Amino acid sequence: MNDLHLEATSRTPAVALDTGAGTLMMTGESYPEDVTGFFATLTGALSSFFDSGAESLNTEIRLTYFNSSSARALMELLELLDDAAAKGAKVNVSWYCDPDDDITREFAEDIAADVSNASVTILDLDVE
Amino acid sequence: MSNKIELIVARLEALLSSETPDPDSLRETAEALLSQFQRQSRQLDRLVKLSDANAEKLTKSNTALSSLTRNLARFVPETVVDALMKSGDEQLAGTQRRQLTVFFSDIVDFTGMTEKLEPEQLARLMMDYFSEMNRLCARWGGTLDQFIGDAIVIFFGAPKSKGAQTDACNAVGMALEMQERLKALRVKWAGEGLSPPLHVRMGLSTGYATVGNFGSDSRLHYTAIGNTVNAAARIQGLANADSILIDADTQALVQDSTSCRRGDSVTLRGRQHPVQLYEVSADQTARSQEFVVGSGDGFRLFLDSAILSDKQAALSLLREAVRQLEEQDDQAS
Repeated sequence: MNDLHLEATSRTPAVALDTGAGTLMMTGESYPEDVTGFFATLTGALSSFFDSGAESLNTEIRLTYFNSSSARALMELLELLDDAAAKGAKVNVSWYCDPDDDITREFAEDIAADVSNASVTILDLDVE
Repeated sequence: MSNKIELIVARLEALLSSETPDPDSLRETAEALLSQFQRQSRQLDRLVKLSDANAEKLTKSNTALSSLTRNLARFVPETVVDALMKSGDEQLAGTQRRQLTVFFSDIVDFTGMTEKLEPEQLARLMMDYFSEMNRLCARWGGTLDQFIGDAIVIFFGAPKSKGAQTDACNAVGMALEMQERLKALRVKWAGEGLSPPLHVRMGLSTGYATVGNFGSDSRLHYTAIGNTVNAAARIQGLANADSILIDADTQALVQDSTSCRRGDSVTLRGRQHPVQLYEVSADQTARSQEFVVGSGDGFRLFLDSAILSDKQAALSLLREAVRQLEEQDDQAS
């Protein structure tokens, strides 16, 4: 079980999984050239985090833009978190959306509706 | 296909391969598969919706970018905007030494004109004047460096060059068309009650200059710096109203296509050696009947009878040339 820290690039968000504190942060924009590879790193780290018996995870998603491939990867990520919650972990997801971006907000709300075990809260992102 | 679906499908296949599958397990697996199918279907709908929304955002961004580009071209030379759009950031970096033909124009007695016109009239006149000159600059492929008060600075040869000769020819062609257009504009302005006649002096110089983006990190100006630019300004100062004065380097590049009259040889301020100046003939169409030009292996001919000063010397040279050619022709036959 290792921490994961990925610096933000022009195409990928910053990712910080702190296994000790039980937190996951995703911040920035997401349209990676290799979507599968990028998200596989994250889902791999999360799987080993939960497999090691982690009891809780607080996740913050602050994405100002993500493309369709990233959206699909995010849905799979939420599914993974929901499955972990179904097995007993306490999983909270705070998804921050641009208040002026109705489409992204609707997308987040739609995904949240499919999550039955983890807690997903949609919040306003501070856009400067 | 997600791992979850793969597992359900594998389970279903295993059940179906059995001769007597357990009905409850079969039902449970089919329901799980249906649930996953419905979830996938919802996800597909979301992705399509998101994809459309992103495409819409992109369209809006493109529209904004097009508008920005159009507006940018009003503040930055079109040739520079084109170069920036095609090449990106590298065009913003550094400066280059390039051969340019620099055009400099100035309105004769502009100060006197400002005293005779109301500010609104002056603003209208200048807007008209600068717009027309800018349009001609773009048409001939010049880079509008800047307006300095009533003066206009344009250069040819950067950021893109069509070759020194074409650049010089385009610069002179533009200047000629500007003077022609000013004649028409003066008639139009007089009709609008703007009586002070607007006459312009133009000067052109060809040579090397440092060209590129000068300024600070936050504010750059694409411009040319060097003796050639100063020379163009000083040559313009020596030109008569409504005329175009060029230096010898420019004349050498345009002589095959443009009629010029040899003018004075002057020592420009800041220069050690005198510069031979030429006045571009205003009426280039009239000279076409008096203009003979041609070249090939072993010969080169340039005759502009409109500006010919020593007709006898020219005739003598031509007769000698004809005699030699005829003699060789006779020997061959």
